[in-house]
Amino acid sequence: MLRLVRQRLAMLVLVLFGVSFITFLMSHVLPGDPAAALAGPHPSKEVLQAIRDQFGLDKPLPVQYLNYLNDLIHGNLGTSIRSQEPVLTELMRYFPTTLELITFAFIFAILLGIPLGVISAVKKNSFTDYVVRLFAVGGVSIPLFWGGLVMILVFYAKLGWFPASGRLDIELTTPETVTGFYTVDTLISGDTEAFFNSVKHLVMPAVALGYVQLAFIVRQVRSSMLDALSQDYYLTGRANGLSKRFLIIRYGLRNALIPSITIIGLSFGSLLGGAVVTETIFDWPGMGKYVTESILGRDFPAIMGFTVIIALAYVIINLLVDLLVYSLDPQTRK
Amino acid sequence: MSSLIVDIQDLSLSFQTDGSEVSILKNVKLQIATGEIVGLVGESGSGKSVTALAISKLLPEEITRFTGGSINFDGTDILKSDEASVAELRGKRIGFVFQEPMTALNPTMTIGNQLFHVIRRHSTLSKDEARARVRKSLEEVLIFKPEIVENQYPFQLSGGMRQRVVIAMAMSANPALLIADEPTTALDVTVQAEILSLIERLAKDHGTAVLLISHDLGVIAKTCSRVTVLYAGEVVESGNVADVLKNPRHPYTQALIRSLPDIAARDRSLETITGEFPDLRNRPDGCIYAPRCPKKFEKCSQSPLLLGINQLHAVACWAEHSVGGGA
Repeated sequence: MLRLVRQRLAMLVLVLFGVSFITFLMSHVLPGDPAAALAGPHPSKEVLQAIRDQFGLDKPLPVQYLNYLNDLIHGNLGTSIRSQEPVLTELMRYFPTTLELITFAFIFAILLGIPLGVISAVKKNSFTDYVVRLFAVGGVSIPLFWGGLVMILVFYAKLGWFPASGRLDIELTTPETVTGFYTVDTLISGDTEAFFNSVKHLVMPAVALGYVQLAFIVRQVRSSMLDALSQDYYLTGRANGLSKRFLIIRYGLRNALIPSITIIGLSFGSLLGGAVVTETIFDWPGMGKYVTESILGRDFPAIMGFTVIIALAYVIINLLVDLLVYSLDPQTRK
Repeated sequence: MSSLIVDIQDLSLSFQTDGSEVSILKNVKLQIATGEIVGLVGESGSGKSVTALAISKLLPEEITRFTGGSINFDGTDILKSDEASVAELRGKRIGFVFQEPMTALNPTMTIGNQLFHVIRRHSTLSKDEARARVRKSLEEVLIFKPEIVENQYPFQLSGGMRQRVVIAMAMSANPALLIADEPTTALDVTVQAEILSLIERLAKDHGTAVLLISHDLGVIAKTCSRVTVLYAGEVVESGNVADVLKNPRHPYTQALIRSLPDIAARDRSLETITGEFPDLRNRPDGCIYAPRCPKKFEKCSQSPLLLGINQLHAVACWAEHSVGGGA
């Protein structure tokens, strides 16, 4: 167990090194002059030069990279070219916002996806199975941007059930930042009205984002479950007269979870990608919006900082998934 | 013969796959008396396992179609009973041991817990009592350190040990019938002998009848009192083990016995049965074995009945029953 964690942490260093190198290279060899982007329309030569001096943009690339790496090791992700604020500060502001969205999307997807996958497998080729599978096909084939807009049209414009944008109604006070999750921070500050309001704001973006993941989970759980149900031990369980419920959960799902979790965990990354689209549609002020704007403004430090944080998140999630599988599978635990 | 625990009469069933219907069993007749060990012999695909699974209705429902006959288990008409009442019998009145001990146990549950849940399911024991029963069951199948084994997972045990656990589970509720489907085929020969004598002893101690399925006539000869020979889903011969194996009357049984290797006669080349196994999608009319049979004559275009030669021995072969015929 400890060995696994140590191994992964060592790998983390290597991965971060690789990621920093690639992002740095990509953002510096691509055409486009960040100094020009920053200086606004029709800048004078002096202004451009001043900006280049300030950010070290005219130094040789290897020197720029080493400087960057040195800063990175000291926890300094650089200064945003657009806002002149430290990138780390900005990311720490936007990251919890995105994380809250992703977390709720993931919880929604898991809570609905696993039972649907199990039911679909147990009732294989029945009407229920077909309905669930159709629902799942929708998730993987309906584009997120379109699905999100339809949701806004129906649940906001027509029915008025949920707000279409932002994290909180403007007339409510923003809770003091503790975790950065409004749903948690409002509870900490004891503002129940703001809590329910923040949950309401979360519903549509989380469901829109989670639907893709949900579809994926349903299909994965269904196929692992079908596999488990056709195993010899399942027949032994039936032949020994165990109850159907017990068989499905302890003989079926328990074994189907091992392959499912690995794959579901790895797909968590797709949520990070999906978040960018979702945040744009629902005007959710998270990392997705931040990075989109940074790309448009050629804000290299911000883009690189974002990439490093995402890579970090990926490696940590993989570690968590491995630990989970490890605890679920007695063969790896030995 | 004492009272019957299993009485299968003229059982016919087929599997439906992709629109085509495959006739798996035809007019199978099999009886097992209380406490008796009966062998069921036949090559792969002869319908041995299907017959066994049919007794506790474990065949895949969506493709199985019962086309005739009946299965009576201890007074219950299995084919006319609903799933819930047959499920009541499983594990409690009918125990099952399968061929593959390596995959027959739940890989993510300890041995102790697997036994525990089966025991709790079929008894009113408290948790502590059930735990004690787990130990006892393991000891009964000659697992000498039950306190260690009960905390282990299947992958930590050898095939022979796993099969003992499967047997312990199958016997935990004192069933009236134990169905052992090729219980030793996947095991080493030495382990095979141990497992067989274990089954024999447990059956005797608990008064449990056993249906022992095997393609190994040696296993049958050693363990069973009676034997039924299946070929392509039809019973071709049945009777006392001594009669059937020493004095086989059906050409198929005779060929099976001749194809056995004999350590004493090393120079004799083994016999094989010529011809091919019939296509069960179109079960041929007449005697099912006729296309491969050396004794075939005109009469064989009609289906032979399973008729007694004497009180203890029956055979389905025209050569045995028609006037002037004979082996």
